[in-house]
Amino acid sequence: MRPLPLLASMLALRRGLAMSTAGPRELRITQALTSAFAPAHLEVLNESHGRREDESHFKVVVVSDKFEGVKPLIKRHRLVTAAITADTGGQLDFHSLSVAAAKTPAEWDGVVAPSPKCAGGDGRGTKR
Amino acid sequence: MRVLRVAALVAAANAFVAPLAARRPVAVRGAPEDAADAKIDSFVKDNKVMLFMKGTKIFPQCGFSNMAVQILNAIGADFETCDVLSDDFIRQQIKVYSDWPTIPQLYVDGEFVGGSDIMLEMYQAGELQEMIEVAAAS
Repeated sequence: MRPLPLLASMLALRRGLAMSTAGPRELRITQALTSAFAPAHLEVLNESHGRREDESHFKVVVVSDKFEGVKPLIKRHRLVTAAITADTGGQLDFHSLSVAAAKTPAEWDGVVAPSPKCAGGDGRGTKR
Repeated sequence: MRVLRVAALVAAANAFVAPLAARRPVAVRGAPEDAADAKIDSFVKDNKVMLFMKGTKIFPQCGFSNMAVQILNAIGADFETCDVLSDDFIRQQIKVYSDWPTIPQLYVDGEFVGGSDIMLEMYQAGELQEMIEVAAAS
């Protein structure tokens, strides 16, 4: 009976499945944030509520030392947005970006606020 | 005679239309954005707490805008809103104005504060209430 390795392999499998369903935009956001912030913790959540493949709504959580001393909060959000939009001329090329947390490891409490449903004013919310 | 009169009318009409037509490309390029900018400016300057959102206070058309309204209501703020869905130029121009890619957008005392994520975090920290109280008292 070795439950731990089994659990670990199940988690690895789940992670593998999650990776395989990440679309190109999700991967691009993940790469951009990883290289900009070397995050201690990173979540890139595809919250598109039309079809997942729309990749229209994302929520990100970035925990990084790079936010040390960066105040007020809006400056951190601007850094996150700049990293994500660097390849698209500073323009967001999808409908909705929520920066649920941009914190230092010391500030990070592991809590991610749930997102409200966007609805976007245009049905699926895919208009930019 | 009659033909002549019509010709004169047409000429007069052309004289009037031609300069307008010549001006039109410039007007189309500049004016709507400038007009939107001017509208945004006066919204932001005339209202101490100004929220650009999708929908209205009563019927928000987006969960993030709804959250922004709920936060301001919870604070008891006296705030004005602008529905960007009703004006496509404002909808686009507000993102340029603030250099911020998403809506809702909150302005307090003429200054851009942030979107709903920032509003929520500032509210939870008690900072938004303080900022709005200070603005209301000024």
